[in-house]
This record gives sequence, structure tokens and C-alpha cells, in this order.
Amino acid sequence: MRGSEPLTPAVFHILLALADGPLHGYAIMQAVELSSGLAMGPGTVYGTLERLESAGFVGEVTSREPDRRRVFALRPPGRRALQAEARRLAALAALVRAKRLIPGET
Amino acid sequence: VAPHRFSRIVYRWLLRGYPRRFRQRFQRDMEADFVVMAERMGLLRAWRRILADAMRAVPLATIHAHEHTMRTAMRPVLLPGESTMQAVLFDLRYAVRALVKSSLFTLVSLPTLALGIGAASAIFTVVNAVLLRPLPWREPDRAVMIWSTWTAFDKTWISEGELNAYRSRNRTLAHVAAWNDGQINVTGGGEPERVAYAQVTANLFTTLGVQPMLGRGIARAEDVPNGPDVVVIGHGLWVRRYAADPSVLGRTIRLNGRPFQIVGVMPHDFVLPTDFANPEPTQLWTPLQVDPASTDYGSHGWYAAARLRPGVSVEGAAADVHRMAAALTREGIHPVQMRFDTVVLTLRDEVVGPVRGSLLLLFGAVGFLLLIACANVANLMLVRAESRQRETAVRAALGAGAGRIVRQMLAESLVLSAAASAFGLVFAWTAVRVVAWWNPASIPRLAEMSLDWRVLCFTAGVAVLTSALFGLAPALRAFRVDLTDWLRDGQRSSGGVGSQRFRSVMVVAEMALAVVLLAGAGLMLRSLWSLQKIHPGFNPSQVLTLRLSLPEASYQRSEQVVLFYQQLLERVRAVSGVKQAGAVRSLPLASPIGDWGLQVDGYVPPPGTGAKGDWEIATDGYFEAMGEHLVRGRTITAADRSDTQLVALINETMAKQYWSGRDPVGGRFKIGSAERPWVTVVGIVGDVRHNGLTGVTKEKFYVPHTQWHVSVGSPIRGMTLVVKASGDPLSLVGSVRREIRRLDAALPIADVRTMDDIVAANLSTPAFTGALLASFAAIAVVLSAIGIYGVLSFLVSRRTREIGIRIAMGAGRTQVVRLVLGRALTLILSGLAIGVTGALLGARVIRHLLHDVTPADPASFLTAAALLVAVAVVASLVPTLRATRVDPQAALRVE
Repeated sequence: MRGSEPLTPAVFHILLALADGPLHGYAIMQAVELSSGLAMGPGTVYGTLERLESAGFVGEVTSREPDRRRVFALRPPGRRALQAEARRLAALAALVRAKRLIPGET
Repeated sequence: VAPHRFSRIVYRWLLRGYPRRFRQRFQRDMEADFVVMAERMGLLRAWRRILADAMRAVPLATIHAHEHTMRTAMRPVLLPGESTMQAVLFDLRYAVRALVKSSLFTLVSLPTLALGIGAASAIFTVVNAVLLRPLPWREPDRAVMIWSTWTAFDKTWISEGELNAYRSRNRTLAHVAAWNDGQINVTGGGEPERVAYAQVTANLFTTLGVQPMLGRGIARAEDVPNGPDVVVIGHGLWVRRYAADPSVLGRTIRLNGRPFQIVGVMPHDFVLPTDFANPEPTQLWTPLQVDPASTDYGSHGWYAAARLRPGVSVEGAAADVHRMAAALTREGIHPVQMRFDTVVLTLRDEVVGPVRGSLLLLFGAVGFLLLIACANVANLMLVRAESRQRETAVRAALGAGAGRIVRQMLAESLVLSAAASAFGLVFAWTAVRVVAWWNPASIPRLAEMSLDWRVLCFTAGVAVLTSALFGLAPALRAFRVDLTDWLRDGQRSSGGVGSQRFRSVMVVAEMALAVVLLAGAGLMLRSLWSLQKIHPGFNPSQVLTLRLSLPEASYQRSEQVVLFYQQLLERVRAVSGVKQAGAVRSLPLASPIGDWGLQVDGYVPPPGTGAKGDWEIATDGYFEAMGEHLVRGRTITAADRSDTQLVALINETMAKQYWSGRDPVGGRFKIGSAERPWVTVVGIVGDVRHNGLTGVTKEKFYVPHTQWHVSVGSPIRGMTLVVKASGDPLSLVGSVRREIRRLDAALPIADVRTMDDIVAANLSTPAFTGALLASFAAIAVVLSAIGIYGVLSFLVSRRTREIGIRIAMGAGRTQVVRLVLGRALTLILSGLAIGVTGALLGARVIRHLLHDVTPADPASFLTAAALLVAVAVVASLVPTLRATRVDPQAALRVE
């Protein structure tokens, strides 16, 4: 999970969702659905969060939510992994664009 | 009523499918999410998504939970708030689990290490008991033994005159003490017994720095000619004979029938330096009663020890003693040709010096063995580390630092060597029992061997050191794996050239060390063999010996002594199973023999020298019983009586020395001064190794026991019975003892031994060293065979694809064999070359331990090399054959 390794879609979108700031599980689920159209269930969200936490990519932060939901935030290694993945996707997108595969683009 | 109550119950039930830790942490959030989902998207859609999600998420969460332990191991060096102790404990627990999991690795490496550590601990136990434990004297490096040496003797006693000279002329010695030793009959107040005793100077106890635990030592006033008969007794005798009764002081003990007053008891660990290796040390010490005016420089019969004055070095004292010895020659007391000098050794060198070389050699050898074991385990660790590269890479990727990973691997090696040490200690304990049971006679203090705190510390130290030795290199190597390689494709990295080289170096080192051990063992065994080949000059098989001494009080007259032995021998010869019996004053290889000045008829000694010969006294039957070889003439017979012609036998050396060109049989000599009667030579016997199996044979003469009191003077009361048996000599002990009892029920019997045992005792140090070295070498060969087998197996499995391609390209079996075996031979021959060079250099160190074998003995070296090459090639054959059986199609499909 360092440098150039592709991230799985679930990991990428969860990290992406947390890029703007700490969120609780349900908010992540919503954000992922918005950004990717992926319908993610709570088991996948919390399971992935737990694994990412073990890897040091995200961390639980003290909750300020009234219902004391668990809130997770992006950690620097997670941000670096996300950036690497974003660069990879950008390069990929550039390649796709160069091959004029997307209709309507010049 | 909360909405969707039933759904929430079902949902909660569903959550039980998640691992407990996960559920405990997220259940609240997940229930809340479910409620929100149900509200926003409707119960049916919410359930569909939940179920689809659970089918993917539950297995993942479960796997994750199972990997929990491992994940925690991927932590950075210290978690926030975690103490070092907790982290270390964690590492150790993890290490134990990892070792239990890889059982094959543990099964091979644990015994290897246990053997190495156990052998090292066992030898250290011996070294500890013999060399390191404190000696029973105060400052044993500040007191010296003084011996005489001249052309005939390398190291022998001093004379009364020399003692007086050293006492009055020295500039460096605070006390000079002397003693002699022998055996004495103790009677009165218990069973008669024969006890080793010594006559000592009053200052001996002060010189050794040991005071009596009860009563006093010998007073100066008692240590004068015709002084009172007092005795200091040993702790063992005090406990055995007097039940440790403190009121023993002032009581009388009868020694050889004469009453002595007990004035003191020595502490339990007190021994004379000359008794250090003696299983039956002296237990009675009476005054030597030196005459300070004596100028007897001829009779060398006393041991001497001296304590250095403060500030004097041992070298300084030795120089002082040499100076005094040189003065004796300058003043004409000793003839120049005698080349009289002294040997000065500290008490420590005196008692442990003779075995120190052998023990240090064994210690070094066992160190080599341990290194070989370490090299083997290091190789195994490396193979294992490589098979765990993925684990390591994942852990590194997940943030475990280099320090963390190296520490984790070191924890594993530490746990491994700790376990090996535990087994090793069991092994050492067993080995120490075996050594104690064997009990090589010439190595002192083996009886005191124990696994004490020093041994435990040593073993612990060795465990830590070895774990660093075999753990560090693989740990550092393992961390150098290419992480990205691993993570990208999850396949085996194609690298490993470096680790292959590391393993090769380990195998070459093992081979080299094994060659050194093999060559060393070969040299020692060759030396032992040539020692065993030495013909002692007699036939030791089926010969029983035992010692008797007639007390002067009841056998005052010479005739009584002579008659006793004649009668006893007649009775013993009549015992069934006895082929022949005789008696002798000084038993070859058992008690040292000294010489007597001679006047040989017709022999003119070179100016300043005199004829001399070791004096032996024997009865008729002795030569036949001992199997000594008669060269010419006749042996002593029953017809040689005190009233017949005085006769003697001489050995070949004496015949050559004093009768060169003349016929000795019929020749004459006088023993001692010119007033003594002529003794006629009636026979020549072969040379006998008397004072040791090696060394020069000196002139020696044999006088009949019946005639000694006529030819020289006093009768010889102490004799050793020599009985040749037709069967097992020890089966005769009972009947011989019975015959002695019938003649004199009060006569104690001592030193019941067979001649075979006596000869074996003379070989015990080389036999001990040789046997241990040989077993170390055997283990070393096995270990290095395992090592080369492992490296080649790994090589073949690594290069399966390459071999497959070669076979597919038409390479035959020969080429494949050449590929693998060629590699093996490179390793073997490199190890051999280094090892032989090392062994040639090292062998010089053990030169003084070798008899009749040069340190560069070609036979030993060639055998060692051939043996190692043979074993290593056999070990290489299995992987080689596997390589030839590689199926090219399968090999190419593998990757």
C-alpha cells in the first residue's frame, strides 16, 4: 500500500470521502455513494475503516457528534496513498484522453 | 414504540455473525445506520443492501480479526504509552508462536543448537571444576613448588641438604616447607586400616596458608630430630574414625604400631599440592624432623613448597632458586655433568598445569562446534526468513520500521537459543555424569563438577551470543528484500543472489571448522594410538596388584619381613586360578622410582659423574607374574636367599651403559658406598617403562627381596603383590585377601588394582581428550553435511526453472549433475582449503599434547579431508539427483 500500488475501489473512495475532513460511518457511506455510485453497506465501511486504521491510514478521532457516533479522520500515510492513487488515476485519465476515448472531448 | 422493532432484533442477531471485537466496537453505529437507512430508503431496500454487504464484510472482518495478532506485530517499535517491557514481552510471545508454527525449522535447528550449547556447557563445567574453582590454599599464585632436575630426571624431589640451602640462602622466600608421603598402618580404636600419610615440616601449613580447624599445627619445637611423636589428622579421617569428635585432641593414635598424639584436625578441603589429583589423599601429617645441620645432598626424596615474600614476583623467586641451585654446582656439591637445576611452578601451575592444555584444547574445539551449529542455524533462519519475505514486506509496508522487524527476528533467535540452552543444560548434565563416571584418573577435581552458577551464567551468555550470531545476519538480510516487488505481484522475489552467497559463506566456514576439528581429533587419536602401541616392557593382562606394608612394631627383624613375604607368596601361588605370584617394591607406572649411586666393577665413570641405577626390589616369581622379558641369564629364584651369593638383575639400558662391549652376566657392582658388598649380575631383563609410558628409560637393577637387607641394609616392609591370574584377576581378590588375613589379621590392604587399569590410567588424559575431540568432530561433520545439503537443496529449488530449461534444450543428466555437484565441490573444496590451512597453523598449538606424531601429520590430515569430502559429497547427492529428475514441462509451468 505504498507508492504506486493501486488501491481497491472501496479503500480509494473511503479515503476520498475523508479527504475533506473527519466523518462518521454513515456520512462516509453517503459520500461514497455520491462520489462513485457505489452502494456500500455498514459492514464494508466499518470493516475497511478498521483495516485502514491498522495500516495507519485513518484514525478514530474524539467524537463531537451529539449521538456519540465514531468519527474517523485521514492520517498522513492515508493522504499520501490517496495522492499516489489520484496521480495514477490522473495519468490514466490523461492516457484515456490522449486516445480520445471519451466522446465529446476534443 | 421504536420503528422497525422486529427488523432491529433480526439485524442485531445478524450482527452476531461479525467477530466479537468488531461488534463491540461498531454495533451502536451500525444499528444507528440501519435505522437511518430504513428511514431514508425503505425497509426492503435497506435489508437488501445490508444482506449483500454482510456477505462480503463478515468474512473479511473475520479474517482481519484472525490476523489480529499479526497485525499488532506490525506496530511501530513502540505504541504510544507502551512500555519497552510490554513491547519486548510481546515480541517474545510472538516469537514463541512463530517457532511453534514452523515446526520443521524448529525440529532441525533446536537439536543442532542444543547440541552445540550443551557440549559447550559440559566442557565449561569441566573447565570450571578443574581450572576456575578456587584452590584450597591461600593465594596459590603466590606460593611455588620447588623441584629438582638433572640429566636423569625432568622433575624430581629435593634433598635435605638442598632444603637447608634454600632455607638459609634465599632472598625471596618467606617460608620453605618440605614433606614426603607414603602409607601407614593405623591401628587401635577401630579397624586396622592403611592410610596415606605425610611427614611435613612445621611451616608447611603456614606456607600453604591453611590453618587447622581444630587444635594446632605442628610446632617448630616438634620438627627437630628425635622430636615428639605428634600428628595432625585430616577431616575425612576425623569424621570416619572419630565420628567428628572434638575431644579427639590429645588422644593417641597408633601409626605402624607407634603411639602418636593428635594435636590438630585440618579443614575438610585441605589437601597437599601433591595430593591434588589423588583419590586417596594423605590424612595424617607427622613432623618431618629435618636436621638443619644436614648436608645430605644425595638422597632426593622430599617435596618442597615455598611462599613468596611480599612484593616478590614468581619470576623473581624462580631466578633466586635457580641461582641457589647453580651455587650448589659451583661449590662442587653437585657435579657439573649432572647439570643440576630446579623447576619452580606456582601451586596453580603445579596442580592444573598438566591438564590445562588438554582442557583448553577441548574448550576451543567445543567453541568451533558451537560456531558450526550457529552457522547451520543461521542458514536455516535465512531460508525461513526468505520464505517469510511476504510477511516481512507486508509488515514493513504497514509501517513496521527496520528496527522493529530486526528486533522481532532477534526475539525469535533469542527464544530459540533459550529453548536450546534449556535442552543443552539437560545434555550437559548428562554429559557431566558420563565424564564423572568415566573419571579420567589424571584430571584432578572432576568429582567436584557441578552445574553451578558459573556454568548457568556461561550458558546464558552463550545463548545470547549465539542468538546474536545466527540471528543478526539473517535478520539484516531479510530486511533488504525489495518491498515493492513483493507488493506488486505478490510473488517470490527473483533476487536472493546475496543471500545465496551468505549461505555459501556459512557452508564454507562450517566445512573449514569441521576440517580443523577432524584434523585435531585425528592427531589426538593418532597420538593416543602410538601411546597405546608403546610396549611397557611387561604384560599387563590378567594381573592383579595390591599393596601391603608390614608395621615395624610387629616385624622388627629383617628375617621376619622376608619370611612373611615368602610364606604369603607360597600361599597365594596355591590359590586356584593363580598362575604365578611375586612382589615388588615399586610398581611400574604406578609409583615413581628413583636412583641409587653405584660402583660398577670395571666401569670408570667420566670425571664428575658416577654410575647410578633405579633400585627395584623383587621376589622370585615377580618377573614371571609381571611378564617382564628376560633377555639373558636367569631371573630371581627361591634359591636366592640371604645366605647365598648376592645377586642382581639389570635392565638392557644399564647393561649397555656400564658393560658396553663386555658381558654383564657375571659382572659385579656395589650399591652405594664402597664398603658395601659386591652384587653379582645373573641376568638381563628388557627395559620397562616405569615412571611413565613416555620419556627416557634409565638404568635399573633388581635385587632379590631376600637379600636387600644384606646388600644394603634395612629390610623392605612395603611391597606390592603382583598376581598373574588364569582368568579374571579381580575374582582372586577375595582369596588373596583371605591368605593375607591368615598370616596377619591386622594387616591392611591397599591399592587393589589390575595392571590393565594402571596402564589405562596412564593414558586417561589423552584418551579423554581424544574421545571428546573425536565426538565433537563427528558432530561437526554431521552438521556441516546438513549445512551443505540445505544449501544445495535450496539451490536446486531456486534453479528448478533454469535446470528445466537446460533439460528442455537437450542437456543430459551429466550436465545437470555437473551443474549442481560442481557447485557443491566448489563449496567443499574452498572449506577444505581454508580448514586445512587453519588446522596446520592450529596444530602447532597442540604440539606438546602429541606423542610421536608431527603436528602436520599427513595421515591425519588426509583422513580428515577424505572423510569430510566423502560425507559432504554424499550429502550433496540427494539434491543433485533431485535436479536430474526435474521435469522440464513442470518446471516451466511453475512460475
